[in-house]
Amino acid sequence: MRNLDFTVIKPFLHLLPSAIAITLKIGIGAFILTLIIAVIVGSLRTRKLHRIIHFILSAYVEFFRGTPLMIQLFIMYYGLPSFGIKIGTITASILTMGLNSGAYLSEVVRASILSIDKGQYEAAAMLGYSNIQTTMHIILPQSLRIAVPSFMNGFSSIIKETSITSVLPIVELTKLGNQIYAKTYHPFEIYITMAVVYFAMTYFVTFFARWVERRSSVWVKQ
Amino acid sequence: MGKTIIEVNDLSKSYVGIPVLKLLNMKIDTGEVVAIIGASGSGKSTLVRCIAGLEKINSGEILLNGKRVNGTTSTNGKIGMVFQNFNLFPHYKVGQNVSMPLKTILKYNKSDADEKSKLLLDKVHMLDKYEQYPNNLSGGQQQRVAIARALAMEPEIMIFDEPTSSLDPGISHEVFETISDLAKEGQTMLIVTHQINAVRRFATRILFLNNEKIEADGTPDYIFNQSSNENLRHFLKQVYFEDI
Repeated sequence: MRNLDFTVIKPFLHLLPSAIAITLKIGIGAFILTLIIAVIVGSLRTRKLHRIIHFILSAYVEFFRGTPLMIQLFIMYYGLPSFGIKIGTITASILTMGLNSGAYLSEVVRASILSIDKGQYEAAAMLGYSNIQTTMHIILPQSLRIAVPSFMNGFSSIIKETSITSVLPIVELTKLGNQIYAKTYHPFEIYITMAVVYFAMTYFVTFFARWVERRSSVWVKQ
Repeated sequence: MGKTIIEVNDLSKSYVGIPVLKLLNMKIDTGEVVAIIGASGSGKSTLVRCIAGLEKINSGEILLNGKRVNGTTSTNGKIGMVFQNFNLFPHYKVGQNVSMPLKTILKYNKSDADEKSKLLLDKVHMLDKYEQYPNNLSGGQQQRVAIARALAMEPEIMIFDEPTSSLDPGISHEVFETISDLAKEGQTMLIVTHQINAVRRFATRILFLNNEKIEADGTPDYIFNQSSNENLRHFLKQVYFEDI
């Protein structure tokens, strides 16, 4: 066993900020897209829909849940150009990860909407709320609170899963680690350092999550 | 009596083939306070839920001010509904429960909506809870907020569907006090309840629902002392026995 030497990373440290920036760009971008998709698809799937729309939404959810993220990434980045659709690495990563997590979390949104008491719909209807007003003002605010912990879990997962985008020509954290490893042959020190950076980011998400949960739960029985 | 607000003609309703209401007819005029009594499962709640538009009906018609409203709730709060389980919006504060529908549905501006909600919450003696969330209130308090919320829409008729059934016996009187105050102001009301003694004081008319139809219809004095309907006598005897 040789001695550990973390100083080998030092000459490459200046590359770290831009790698972190790309990781965060993909992570946060994908998370925002996830939120939008999950809320829209999740609430649509609680309703009676036209057969074709219902089929499209189910197919979307099943496809993204039933295939590996890396394959989806390859299809998005390498496959789509065959049809003349060319997108950048970061855009492809955000789109794929957003669609992937959106499929999972739309099911969480759907379940949390279904868990709202039907008395809430009846009370809203009697006051004159339309379907869309009931959803926007009464049902979604309540069901999203239920979904917050799952969303925050999802956010952590997305940050970690961005490492899969290292298979594309893009220098995010994991790819940077690979490159430093190729130059120094100190895998343990390098990947431990990367792990610590990932951990720091998800730990921050955990704090953020607690804050969001507290804020969104003020009306729950004390 | 004033003009007719609610008219029910030949209403029939069944659940999975079991008839609950059969060719039922009734009318409610402005200013009337009508209580519906009857055994559990006699269809009291179903009847008022049909009138409110929360249940689809099998046949017949329901008129609100002479217009057919069969199975629709799109009456913009013209029928105010108070539920057994209150159904307050838990993510809104007490004040918002009353003011938000005013803003969202009736397009009140913020200050008008706030002013009106304060006025109504004061009326049901809940103004001190304005900034609280419903989950921190007792059942009786929640129900009074629910009454204020329904009143805010200035309903032509208030429907109470067993408003005290999920409350402790000691607490239901505070809700009936509020309902009784409304009766004095001339609010038209339709009340489903098991607590016959409580509504007896202020109801102008009592309907006895039995065997899928209204078997007795009259003033409290008629219902309690004069009607010779055997089922009603039997029912009242049972209820009184339970009340003691």
